[in-house]
Amino acid sequence: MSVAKQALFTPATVLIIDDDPFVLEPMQVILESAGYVVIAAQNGLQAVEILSEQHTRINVIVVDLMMPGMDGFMFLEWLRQEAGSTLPVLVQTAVNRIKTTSRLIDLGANDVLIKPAQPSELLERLQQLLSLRLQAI
Amino acid sequence: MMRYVNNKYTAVFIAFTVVSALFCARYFSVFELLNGASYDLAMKYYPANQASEKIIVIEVDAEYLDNGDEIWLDLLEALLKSDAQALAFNVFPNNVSSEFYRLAGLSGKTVFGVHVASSDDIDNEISLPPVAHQHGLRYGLIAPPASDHGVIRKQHATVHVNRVSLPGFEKQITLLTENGFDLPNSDYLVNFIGNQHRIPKINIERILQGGLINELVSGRTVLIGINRHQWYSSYFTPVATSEKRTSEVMFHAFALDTLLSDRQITTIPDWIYLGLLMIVCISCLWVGQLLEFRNSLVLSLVAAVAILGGCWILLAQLSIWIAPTELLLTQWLSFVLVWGFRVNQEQRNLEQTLFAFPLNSREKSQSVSIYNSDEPWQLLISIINQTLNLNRLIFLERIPGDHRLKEISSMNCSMDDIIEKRRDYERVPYSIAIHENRPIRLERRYLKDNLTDEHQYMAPLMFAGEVLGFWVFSVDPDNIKSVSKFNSLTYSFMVQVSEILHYRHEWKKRIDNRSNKFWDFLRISGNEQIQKLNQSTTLLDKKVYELQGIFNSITTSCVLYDLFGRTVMINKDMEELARAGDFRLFNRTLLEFMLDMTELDESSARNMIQRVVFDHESISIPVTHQSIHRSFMLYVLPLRNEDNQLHEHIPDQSQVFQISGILCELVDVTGLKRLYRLKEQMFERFCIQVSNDLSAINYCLPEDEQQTGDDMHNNTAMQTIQGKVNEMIQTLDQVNEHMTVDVEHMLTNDQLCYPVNGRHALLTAVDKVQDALNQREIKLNLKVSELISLVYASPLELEVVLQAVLLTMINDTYDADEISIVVKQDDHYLTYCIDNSGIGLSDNSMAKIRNEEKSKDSELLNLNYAMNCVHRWGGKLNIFSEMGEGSRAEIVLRCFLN
Repeated sequence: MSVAKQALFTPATVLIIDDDPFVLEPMQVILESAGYVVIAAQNGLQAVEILSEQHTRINVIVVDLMMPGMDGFMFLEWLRQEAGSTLPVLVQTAVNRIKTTSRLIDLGANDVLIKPAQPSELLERLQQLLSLRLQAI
Repeated sequence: MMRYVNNKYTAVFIAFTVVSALFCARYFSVFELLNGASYDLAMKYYPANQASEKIIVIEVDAEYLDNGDEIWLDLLEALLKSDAQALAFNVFPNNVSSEFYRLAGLSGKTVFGVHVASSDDIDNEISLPPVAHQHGLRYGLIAPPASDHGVIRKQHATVHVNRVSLPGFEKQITLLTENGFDLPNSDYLVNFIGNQHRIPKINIERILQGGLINELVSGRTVLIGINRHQWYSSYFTPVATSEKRTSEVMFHAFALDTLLSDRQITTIPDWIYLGLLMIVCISCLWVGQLLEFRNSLVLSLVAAVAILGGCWILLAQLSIWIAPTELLLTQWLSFVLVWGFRVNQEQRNLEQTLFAFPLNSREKSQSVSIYNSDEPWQLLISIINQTLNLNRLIFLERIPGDHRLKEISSMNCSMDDIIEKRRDYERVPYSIAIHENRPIRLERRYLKDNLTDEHQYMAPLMFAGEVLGFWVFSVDPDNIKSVSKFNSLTYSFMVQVSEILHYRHEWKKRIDNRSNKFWDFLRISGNEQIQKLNQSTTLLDKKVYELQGIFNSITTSCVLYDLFGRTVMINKDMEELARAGDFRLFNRTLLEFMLDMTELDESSARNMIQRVVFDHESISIPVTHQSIHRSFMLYVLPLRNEDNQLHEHIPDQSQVFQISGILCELVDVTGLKRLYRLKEQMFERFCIQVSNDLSAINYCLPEDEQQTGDDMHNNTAMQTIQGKVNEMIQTLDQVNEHMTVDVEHMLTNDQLCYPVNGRHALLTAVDKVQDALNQREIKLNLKVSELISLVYASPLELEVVLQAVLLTMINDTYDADEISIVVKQDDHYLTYCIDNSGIGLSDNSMAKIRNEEKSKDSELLNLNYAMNCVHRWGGKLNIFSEMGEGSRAEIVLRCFLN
């Protein structure tokens, strides 16, 4: 990877979306401790607003699947079809079903993380997504 | 007699009896008349094939007999000039000169018939005309033929004169023309086949006028005889009729033709006939035992025709006569005896099965002696009275062999209280009760008056059409709450008591028979067996009916198969299920039924049946029949045979025969499945929630034990963990509360509020209103997330509520318009928003929905009901409507674990 490319994501900005503050806050701490710049949204609609304003700043998105109002499916549908974004998305979900996972992949999710997950696993997956993103550019 | 013959030798016994009897009958000519008649018919009705080439007859009228040489010498001269082989006169013409006899004698081929008195008269005298002496004439003797019961069938070959046996007329002629080796020496059967067409004739006048054609007589014997003369008799032969008998000359012509043409009728020797009788008899026994009655009868008829035809053809073609009567009698006697024996045997088996079994089986379960004691009748009276609350009752029994009645048992009355003194059951009111065959209310008082104004009834006690007695009872009208129920109940009691009385009679008959065998032997009763049979079949019928009733009362759908997998019985539930599911049950084997109902392949289904039959295992398989919309489990159970006595008769103690059938039960598990599904959904939701909470805790905990954060971070983590632990405790409490709901509560209580999949309920409701949408071409826009929370509602009613709201919205929408359904979810509530752009509901309708006004409109009533349901679940159902703009329904329900 060239230095120029790596410089593009240093420090990388992560948009995290979860309706549960008890998940959102520790996750924010973990990611910030790992050197990421974190933007937090408590639901899909708030995330849409953020993305509309700061799309170029964000490098990767971590979204919870089950949320009131706009859930993970709706968010992905909006992101890929309406916003036309190609940002890498990691979906966190407690629903461990193949059918749900394949539907998420169909809608444009880049990876699915089954809850409960270790912080290291979260960071590792994010790192993989960013690496892939860098290769793609 | 046959009853005592050992079954092993029955056929031998029948064959021996029949053959010996008929052979003896033949020996003593018992059936001579019948055989003679058959012989005559065969002779008479066989078509003529061709005329004889050996003989020609000149029948001369009697008026020519005295004409002397003028006729007879001319005739002789003319015939001698021809190439006739022989000339035979069965008469000496009158007034002829010695020249006539001289020429006849010189010719060497002229034979005269000399009449004698009898064929075996030792004093017979041969008398020739005086002028016939010394001319060396040849002559044959003519004696009157022997008669068989008035019919002439035979001719004498020889005649006795002065103790000397001399050739008869025909034999003498034959000796002149043939070598005579095969000629008979005693009486022989004359062959009449062909009748008049067999014997050619020529007219005497034509010969006298010189018109004799030599070819006509060439090589033939010319027989000249007198026709219709008082001295010459005519005979009743097989070919004669009562109007037209055979003339003497024609009889001689047939006899002569028989010898000349070698057409003598021969009969078969006795030993061959005996063999034939045995063949026919054995064939009949074989056919009678091998075939069913109808086929056996048809074959026997064909065989009889064949025997007759065979005898006829043999006679005509080969001149062999076989008397058919004994053969036919052998055939039919064997047939009758075989079938008599078979019917007798079958009847005895039937008797054993039908008469003995029902009574014995009854005795097994209950001692028959109770029918004679008073105790059961008192018990019966007590039961009846507890149920019907009667004032008085009396059971009357018919006296055997009489038409009078006597008392068996009574309550609050006796025989003396009966006003009708005759007690004759052939008279009114008994006859009316018998005719109606149900309890009838008596218009005239039957039991003497008592103080109350009671109603009196009479019920006939009949079993299998036989009057056994009567049940008379009285009741206060006030005690009859429902006339129809009272009538139905008394009718049921009547039937039951009739059956008990029948057993009482049977028992008494047996006791009587045991005590007086001699009288029982002398007794003549034509219909007793039939009556017994009738009673037994009625009893069996009743038992089968009761068994079917019990089978029908089983709450699951059942079908009973026998050990070989054939359908024996199907209960009502199963029949209805089969009708609804459009699958066949009758004439389907267990294997086919299992393949129809489940996803098993043939090999697996066979294995399962083997497990049931051989290992006596019970198996259960989920039903997957596509036409059945409910969830069923198929249970296949072996019905074990508990009768140890049966096993004793089975030498190898085969496991297979220790079961008497296979019961298939379809158990409806729809409710269980629904409950399981609800609990599964709840558990899944619980897992998601716990996973989420654990995820939060995971993110708070340091991965490395040595890794510690600052105090502020630690405090935040602790707060997060504490918060999540509290949430998990609440979650566990909620889940526990719902997990303890039992099945019965779940299936019966429509008030129950339980976490339900709101998306699934909505999709089912949409499916159910799809027809209404299609009919009006209304488009439906449905927007619902796949992962919405479970909501609190009644599992039995949420679909109904959604359906009611949807139907209201559909009815309020214009044709070909649109309805949108959006499902939203916030932190604690799930909202179904249903919008249309239709007509809008009036204020009046809105008031009715809100129950402010009473409504008769079913649709509004349903909506009102839905509103109450939703309120009961802790939710809200709001209807907003504006005339001309459309309506919106919002169903807000509480979310589970949110």
